[in-house]
Amino acid sequence: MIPGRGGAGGKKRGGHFKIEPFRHKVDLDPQYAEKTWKVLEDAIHEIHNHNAFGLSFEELYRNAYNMVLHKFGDRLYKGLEDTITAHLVEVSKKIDVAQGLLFLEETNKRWEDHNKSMQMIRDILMYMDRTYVNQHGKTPVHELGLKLWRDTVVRCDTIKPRLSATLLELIQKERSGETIDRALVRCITKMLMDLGTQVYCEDFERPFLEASADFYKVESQEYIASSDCPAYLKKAEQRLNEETARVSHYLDPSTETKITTVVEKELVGTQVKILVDLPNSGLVALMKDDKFDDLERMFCLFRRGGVLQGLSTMRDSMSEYLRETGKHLVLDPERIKDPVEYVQRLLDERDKMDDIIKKSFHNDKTFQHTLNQAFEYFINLNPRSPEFISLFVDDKLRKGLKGVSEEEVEVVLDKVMMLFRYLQEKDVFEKYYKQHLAKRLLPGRSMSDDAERSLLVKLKTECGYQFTSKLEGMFTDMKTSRDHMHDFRQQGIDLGGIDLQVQILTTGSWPTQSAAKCNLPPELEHCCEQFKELPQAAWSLEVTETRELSLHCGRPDPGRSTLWTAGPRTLHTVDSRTPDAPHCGRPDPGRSTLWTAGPRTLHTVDGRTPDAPHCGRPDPGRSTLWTAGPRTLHTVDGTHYV
Amino acid sequence: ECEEIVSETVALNSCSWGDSLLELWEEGQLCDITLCTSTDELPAHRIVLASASPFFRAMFTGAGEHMAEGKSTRVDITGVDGETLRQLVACVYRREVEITPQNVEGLLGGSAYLGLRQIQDACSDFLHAS
Repeated sequence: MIPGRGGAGGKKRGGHFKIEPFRHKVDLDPQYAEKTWKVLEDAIHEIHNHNAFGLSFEELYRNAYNMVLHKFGDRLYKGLEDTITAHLVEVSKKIDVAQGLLFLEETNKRWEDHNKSMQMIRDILMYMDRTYVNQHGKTPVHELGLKLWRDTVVRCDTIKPRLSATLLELIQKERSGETIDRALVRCITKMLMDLGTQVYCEDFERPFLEASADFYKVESQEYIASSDCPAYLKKAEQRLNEETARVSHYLDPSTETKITTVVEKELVGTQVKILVDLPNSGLVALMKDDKFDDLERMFCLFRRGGVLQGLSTMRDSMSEYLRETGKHLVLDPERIKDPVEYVQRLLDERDKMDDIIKKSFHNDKTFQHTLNQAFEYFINLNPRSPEFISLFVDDKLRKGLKGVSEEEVEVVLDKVMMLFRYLQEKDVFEKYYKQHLAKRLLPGRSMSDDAERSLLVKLKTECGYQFTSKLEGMFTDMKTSRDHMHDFRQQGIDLGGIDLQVQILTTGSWPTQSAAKCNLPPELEHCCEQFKELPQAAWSLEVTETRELSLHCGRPDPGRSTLWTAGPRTLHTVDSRTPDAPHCGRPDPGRSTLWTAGPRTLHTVDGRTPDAPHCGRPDPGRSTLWTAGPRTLHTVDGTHYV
Repeated sequence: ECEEIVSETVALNSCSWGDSLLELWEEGQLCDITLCTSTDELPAHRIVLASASPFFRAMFTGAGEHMAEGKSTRVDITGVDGETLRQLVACVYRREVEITPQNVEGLLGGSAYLGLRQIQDACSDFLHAS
């Protein structure tokens, strides 16, 4: 048994009683509490009067310690609360006397004093904070000091309205360009934050945001009446920057999004539609003139949280503009005359918009989507778009890519693919592409096999194997034909001076029309028979009945090349020159001749249609391609057929 | 080739530092305060006392700095008796406390007064155990 244990006070701590210092049973002076408190009260007064130098910390600490130890904590705490309150009532009166700017200065000075005093008082009453306050759920001394300052000073009837009004007045002055004492305002807003977020919000922030909304409401009306779109946007941006700077200089960081939202809403949000639609300086005008900076400013302002419908309004306007100009582009009778120029204009327009979206709209996906939708809309307004795009490729692959690096070719092809993606009638494109490709492959007119293959891969990636299987078949046929010709030549058969070129084409892969069997002149018939003797060729002819045999006879003229489809009904040519009037009858020995088996019409892809195809003898001096299969006949001669 | 020099943080043994403070105290070197009780005078280092006890911290850096204690190298301690104070200050330097049935009452009161939490808890546990 420990002596004096009965005198130990106890409290709950971590599941068992904590033992406190022993209170020795001494006969206390009945006036002990009041006398001791008086000492402490006097000391607090001295502290408030900046006159603590003569006090003994240890003595005051011991007195407070003993009061708590002897269960006079209530008296001590109550005494403290009353003394501080009474002091602060006097302080608030002194603050209230101060006029003008001095009001804030006085508030700040008194606040600093109060903090220092409370710090010292807390040190003296440390033991009370640790035990009594804890055990009785009281407000600790430091927090008590804040609470009393809040209720007795900041929120007293005379000071509260003046405080927020003075702060707002200073901010208003700064908005008008005057210089204010930012450090002082910062101290006051910090004081409000120290008193609690709620005090800062209710006593300052809410009225500040309301006043700001009113201010910017008026300012937006003034601005819009006197500025064009870029100038307005610059002012709004400047105001936003100012408010952000203001927060960093003397407001709590939590206010930043709130005040910028107010500015966004009142200064930007209310004018979105008007700004976008301004006739000579709105979105369309800025896009036309490539005003990247102004466009970016608009984008950045309009995408801010406080601006409702900002970006969607921009997109709507952009879409409307693109659809309108695009419509003109694709339906303009002048443009349709030149397919290459037509497609080039589409590419240029898309490049321009792409550039704007990259540089000004931060590559925003929704703007890209709007751009794509607009292009898809107007490209398909013209049913000839698929054909024109194929012709554009044809032009590039024939001559347009001369002296251009592989990378640049890829860029052009990628851009074409972009347009291709917009096409709804992809099959129509395929139809034309097949024709144009045939006219490049058969006469060997394509500039670059790599580029051809590259585009094929892109089409395959885009549309799948099915889409390109026939096109790939055409390439395969070309290779097979070359191999067979090679084998045939190896045999060294005498063809009577005729240079035989045979191309074996798979039915269905090539854009040929059905044609009746045509009767070849004996010399050519002989050549054909010789070729058919070739084991590999015979094999492919027999095994795959769907294949057709095309013959290229005569002496090739490297300078010319013409393809004739000489079916019973159609005859195609890609020659720049077109026969005036094809004929049937005896061949003219001086001319290259084409046999057909009773054609009725003759088409050319350059838009001119000859009256009728003709038959005749081949001109040995010219290269001629015969399709001597059961149904079709091709020629790659470059001459007139008169 | 020049190897890049990477900065490195190495933990240092704090025991030797504590040992040195104890040594300085035992040798009476660099002491900057004298604690005066009715029976005793005890030289010590303010920085050591303030780092261990909120009471001394308030006395040397807080309220006490603006009061009589602030200008003096001698301070009166009346809330703790001389012998207990010597034991407690020694505990602070030695980083250990020896509790006996004889000294537990004094140590408990003194540690509560000076805010030496660990010693107060140790004394409390000692009384529970016995």
